[in-house]
Parts: sequence; structure tokens; C-alpha cells
Amino acid sequence: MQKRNLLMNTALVLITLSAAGISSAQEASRLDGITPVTTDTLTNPSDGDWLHWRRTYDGWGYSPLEQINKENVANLGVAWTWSLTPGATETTPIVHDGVLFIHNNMDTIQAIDGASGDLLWQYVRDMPKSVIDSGTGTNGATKRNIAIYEDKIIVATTDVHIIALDAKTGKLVWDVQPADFNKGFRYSAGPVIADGVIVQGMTGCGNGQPGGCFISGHNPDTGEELWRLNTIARDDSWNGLPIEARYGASVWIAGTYDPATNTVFSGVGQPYPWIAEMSGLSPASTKEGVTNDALYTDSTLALDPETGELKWHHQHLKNDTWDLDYIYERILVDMPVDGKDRQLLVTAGKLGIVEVIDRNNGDWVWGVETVPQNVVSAIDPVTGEKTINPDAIPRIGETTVNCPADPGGRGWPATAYSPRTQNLYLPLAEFCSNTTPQPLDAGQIYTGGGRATFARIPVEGSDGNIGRIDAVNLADRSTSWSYRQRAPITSALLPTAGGLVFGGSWDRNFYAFDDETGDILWQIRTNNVVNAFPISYEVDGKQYVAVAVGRGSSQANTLASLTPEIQNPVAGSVLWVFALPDAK
Amino acid sequence: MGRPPAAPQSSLVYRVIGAMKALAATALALLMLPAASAGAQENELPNMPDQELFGRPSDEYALQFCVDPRDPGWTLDKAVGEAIADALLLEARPVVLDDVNETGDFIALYRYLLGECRVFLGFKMIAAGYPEWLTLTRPYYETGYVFVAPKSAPARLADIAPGTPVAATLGSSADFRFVQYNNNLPARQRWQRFPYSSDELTLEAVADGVAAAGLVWGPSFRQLRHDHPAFAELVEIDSAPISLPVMAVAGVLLGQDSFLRASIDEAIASLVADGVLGELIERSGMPGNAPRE
Repeated sequence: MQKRNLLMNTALVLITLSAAGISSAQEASRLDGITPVTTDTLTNPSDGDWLHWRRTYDGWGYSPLEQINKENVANLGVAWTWSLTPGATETTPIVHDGVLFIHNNMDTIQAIDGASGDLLWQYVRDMPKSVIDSGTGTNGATKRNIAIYEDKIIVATTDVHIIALDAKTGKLVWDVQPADFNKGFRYSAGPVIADGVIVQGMTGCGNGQPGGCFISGHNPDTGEELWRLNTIARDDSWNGLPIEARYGASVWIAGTYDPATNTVFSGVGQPYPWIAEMSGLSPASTKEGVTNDALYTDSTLALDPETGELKWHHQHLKNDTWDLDYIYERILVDMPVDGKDRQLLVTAGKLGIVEVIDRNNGDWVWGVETVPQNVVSAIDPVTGEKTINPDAIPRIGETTVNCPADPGGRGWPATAYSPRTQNLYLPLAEFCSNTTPQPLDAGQIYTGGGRATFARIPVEGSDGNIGRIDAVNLADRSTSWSYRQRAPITSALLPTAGGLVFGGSWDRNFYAFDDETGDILWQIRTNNVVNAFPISYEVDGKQYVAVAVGRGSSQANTLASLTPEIQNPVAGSVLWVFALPDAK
Repeated sequence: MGRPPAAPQSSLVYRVIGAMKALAATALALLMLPAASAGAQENELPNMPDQELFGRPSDEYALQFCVDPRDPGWTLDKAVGEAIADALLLEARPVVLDDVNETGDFIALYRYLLGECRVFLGFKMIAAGYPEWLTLTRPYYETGYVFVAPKSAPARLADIAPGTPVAATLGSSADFRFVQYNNNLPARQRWQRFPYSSDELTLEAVADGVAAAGLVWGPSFRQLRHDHPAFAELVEIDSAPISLPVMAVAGVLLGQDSFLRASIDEAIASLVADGVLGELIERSGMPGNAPRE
């Protein structure tokens, strides 16, 4: 496969940049100013940097910057914009020393001056035909995050390689291929760098991939694979099925990391195909010692980044037959519970239930519901064991109702935690689905992909509002505020030290909410769906807020079927960057 | 637990469920109709950010049709496409795809129907199996699924002991029949179903003795048995007590191409009446037959 590196600091490009009013000397100084990102840098990032998917190892997604705050956010304006390549845009820029690095659909990586918006370099990856033919609208062509370590940008690519680019030049440093795209493997998120190891989850291990998915550890100097952890357990929890007949357990969101215990925390997706009668997980085996829990699907895994050794697991949902992943971010928070200091891990799956476990052993601590759901009828307060509503279980030949459904009461747009308020902010959606299992074999190759028809409908008695943001106080488990609107909330949330929570929705609006009340303090109508991870960073003493917009996320499009009157353009992926006006 | 909602009672729900009941009651009739209703999300055209790069193939005086070598019946599909073009007095322009992905989805299908061909042959007529933006021709071929087992095994599925593993390529229309039958038996009378993701893996499980029998697509069995010596010892067995569905195979088009679909339907009808399709199927050696007039 041919790979091109379109490094922009050629003579021709320098002429172009100069013509645009940017001197080559300024360009060089911004790139020259990039300092190596060490493990210590990643552990203690400067306030103005955004070095991880969720900025810090604890996954808070919180910016300590406060230049933009409740008092002045009304003056927030557009600092610059940058058009991105077409297609699904679920990206998170990372920012270091004033340089913003961003992944574009189909693996164009760009370094951009965070203050001026000028292009510093770009890497364009040439793809095999089979990858291009799979399209830009798929989740596999976008990446929810990239990573930075030492002097390299680490990218999990659409053709299922992991590559390292020189952070100063964009030149390819190394390239490894952990799996075969043509067999259905995919990367839709990037890695977390933990204790000097690239920890990367694999997805796309659907019904075409016997044995399921895995997490792998890689050497950041060479990309060499150091270990591989199968996310489908080789035990008796798969209803007596042989390994070759077990599918799923994909890892399509990056993990978080606790340096104190040298532990990476990762979520795992559901079994495939979604309907348990199809996957062979239902009816339950009557053999002694055999269960149909399907470990480690819908679990939190705690693993050693050096060896990949599994320290413990906590399964949030056994035998998931709805596509209700528990894959999302793991947020690490220390706070007292019932008067005792605890080291906690907070997550929420598609059911929208906030679940808190002890991050040292996976023990259940507490949980609280948010959006209406009818799948779980009870949770054991001691163990967290869930009782499933049998009426919500899909069956071949029947149509059943489950709330929520596959795009999730919360989807991949991440929740966030603010130490200012002790609130967990959740982007949510209220809806249900009439679920009918469907055969996979429309064409011998063309499966239709659905495994079931999910006819999405509003919840009973709905006032028409689908989108919702909840602020759940983790200290007292109360709901501090709840904001609801018609359009689905389609972005991750960004709380800041300025007392704001940024987030956006299907109707192209991007908002700044008051972090204590949920009041809208500022909003702007962008060109397309706000469907990515907003960040905040600082360059030359000035705070910026950045978010990518662009239609294409399957999750957002799926939710949009509930609000057909809201129409958006197909094209137009753009990075929007906001700042306060300069003082006159 | 707070606020678990009751089954939604909106009129939309009743319309959807009502429609689905109607579908179930008339599934057989629907086989002869364009694709039936699927879920709302599947019914919207795929989101193609680079759609402006595509142009529909020009019709000129030709029939541009796709066939897929990953499908064991593709040479028959190609011969049928050429016969349809001939019947319509059009030049046959087969597009033999070279996709090396192991599986595809309707988004890929959409891309092919936008950029490569007007009709894509080799699709099973499954009620509610297609989004509304697709339509199917009338069928040109009828075949089905088969249970296979080693020659030394019982000649009937019914004679395989309960509790014994039986493999199945997961999620097929026939697998649904198998699941529904098996799961309705008392636990001690069930076979243990092992789902595999391809016919080849299912046959491997049977050949290796992991499972006593396997449920696969008939045309796949014919091809794989020919290509893999390890499968030569496998034979079809009687599926009783499970009645496996006859599957009608057709071409799929974008819903907007209704005139072309009507023309192809007429051509298929004439090819059936003239016995041309029956001859093509017999010559191909594929299991099955032409549909009745």
C-alpha cells in the first residue's frame, strides 16, 4: 500500500503560507516549541493543554481554564474555523504547546496553530480500495481520539493499523498492522498511553469474527505488540458455546488510567449478534457450572498496562440482547461514601444508569437512573446485580418494546465531571424501540447489518423532548439540574473552571450552560450537527473552546429518526474554535 | 427502580405493531412484493458525505448489473443477468465486483447501486428484510437451506440425540426456523445449537466432529463441498421435523428505479415461461429450480 506524507513545509507551501500572511519563521517557532510529552507530562498536564481524549488520565473531560466564564461567555465569538474532510466526525483534538492536532475522516491528520488556525503540517493516508469502498459515513472511518507521547502522534487508522507520526513534521515514524480490515476488524477510537505503553482497543469483531475482540499493548518506540488481552473470556460463561462461536466484546472507546495503581480501565461492548437467541446465549444452558453471562461483555476491565494482565472485572449487564453497551468512558473520582474515603470509578452504559464501583476491586458502590428505561427492573444495592424485565427481551418472531435502544439513553458522546460542582454531566436521550429480530441473510454477503429492526418511538407520555442533559451530583446522588429539549444532544460535554458546561445538539446548536443551574448562557448555530468532543485549551495566554461538527455519526443519525422535522446538510465537517474578543 | 415506562401507547406504536402483525400474516404474499417496511432508521437513505462524487451509470442501450463472486451463485446470477438483458434487447454489461471484505452491508450496496450498476442480482426475498429505499425484482431462482452431516451420521435430523451440538450459520431465515423450533422444546429435548458466522465455519464444525450436523445455504454447500476435500464426506440429511423455507432469489434496485424494475420483471416472467431460466439453472448445477409461472 502506498502511503503519502504531504508535509507542508516545502518551499511551495511556505510561499503559500507567506502569501496568507503567516511567516515561515512563525510557523517554525510554533512547531519548534513543542516539548516532548513524557509520562509525567501526561500525568500532570498543563492547564492549557488537552493531551488525552478526556484531557486527563482520570477521564473527567474538565478544563481548569477560567478565562471564559459565566460573566463573559455572552461575548464568546468565533476565533477561527477549519474545514475537515467529509464524513462522520466524532473527533477529539489534542493540544500541546499551542499546536492543535486533529484527526479527519479517513485518516488525514493535521497540525494546526491553535491561535491562528494555520495549517502546520498534514498527513494524508492512502487507503486500500476495500477501505475506501466501505465509505466515509461509517464509524470506522472516524476516530474519537488520537494520542500524543514523547515526540509522536499515535493514531489507530481506518485500515486497522497503528501508526506514529513525528509531532513536529507529520512524517511517518512507524506503522504496524494488528489485524485485517477485510475480516471485519475496525478501529473507531484511539489509544490511551499508560506507563509508556500504547493501550488500544479493537472493534468490528462482529459475527464475522469468531473469538471476538481484544485489547493490545504496543511499544511506543516501534509499535511492536507487547501483549493481547481477549475480551471474550475463555471460560464457561458463554452458554457452552465453543470459542469459534462466540462473537463481539468490542472495545471502541479509549480507556482511562490510574497512575497510582498502574491500572488501565476499559469498557467492553456487547455480544454479537445482538439478539441472544441468534448468538446462542439464549435459552440458558442447564449444564452445571455453565452460565450465559458472556464475559467480559458489558464489563469494566482493570488491567496492567505492562503485561495486559486482567486484575479484575465488573460486569454491568449480563447477556446483553439489546445492543446496550457499557463501553463508554470510565471516570475516576475520589470522594467519601457513607463517611469513608473511596477511590471510585464512574460510568454509564446505554441504559443511562450512573454506576459507581470501587476502582481497586470492582465492588459495587451505588447507582442511579436518569432517562426512562424498562430493561432493568431492579438493582441489588449490595452487589449491583440487575434483574431484567422479561417483557423487554427480544424474541424471534415477536416485536417487543425496550427503552432505550441501540443508540443509547446515552451514546458515545462522553459524560464529564467537574470538581467545581461535583456534578457528573450526562448527554442523554429519551426514547424507546419496537424491536423485531430480522434474518441476516438478505444477500449472501450483504447482511443489512441490523440483526433486528429497531423502530424507535418516543417514551410513553412524551412531551416531544428527546434531548436531555442531567447534572448528577456524585457526592449526594441527587440530580442538580436537568435540561430538556426537542433535538437530541449529540456532543460530549465540557465543564470548565469558568463555571460553564459546553455541549451541542442535532439541531446544530452549540451551548454554554451554567454548571450550577443548567441555564443557557450562550449559544451559536453552527453549520452542521455538533457531534464530537468539545475541548478547551490556551495559547499565548488566551483560552479557546473547540469542537468539530459534521453529519455522519450513525448514533446521531439514528436518534434523528425521532425528530424528522430537523434536517441537516449531508456535507460540511468543520472545526469551530471560539474565544473572547481581544481587549481593545 | 424509578420510572420504568409501560409499553408506549402512542398511535405510532399501534401503527407499527399493526403493520408488523399484518406483515406476519401475509409474509408469503409479500415475497412477491417490493421490500416491506423496516425500521425507521433503515428506511432513510444512507448518509453518504461523498455522494457528490458518484454518478448513476448511463443506461444507453445496456443493462448494467452487479454480481458478487463472494456469493456461490454468482455465475448463475451473471447468466441470468445476461438473459434478462437479451430479453430486453439491451447490451448486457455485467459488473463483477472485486470486494475482498468478508461481509458487506446495505451502505455498501447503496454505493454499488449509485456508482456501479442499476440492479444487483443474488438477493433473497425476505419479508421486512429490506429498507424502503430498495426494491426487489420478481424472483428468478428458488433454492434453500440444507442440514448436512457426515455420511456415517443419522440420515434424519430427528434421529440426532437431544443435547447433541448442531451447528448453524447464524441468523439465516432457516436458522430462525431452527431456533424457534428448538427453543420451544422442553430443555432436555433440545439440540445444542452452535452458531457460526459463515457456511464454511459451520461445515468445518461438522467435519471436525464439533457438531453432529450443520445448517447451511444449499448453494454454498454445493460449492464448498466441491472446493474442500474435507467436506466431501458430508451429505444432506432430512430436515424433519423442521420445515425449512424455500428461498426466492431476485435482483435488488434503488426504489426510484421502478420502470426498470417493471421491465426486468416482465423479462423474468418471459424467461420463466420460455423455460430459459430452468435451463440456465440446470446447466449451472445449482440446487433449486426456476420459479413457477
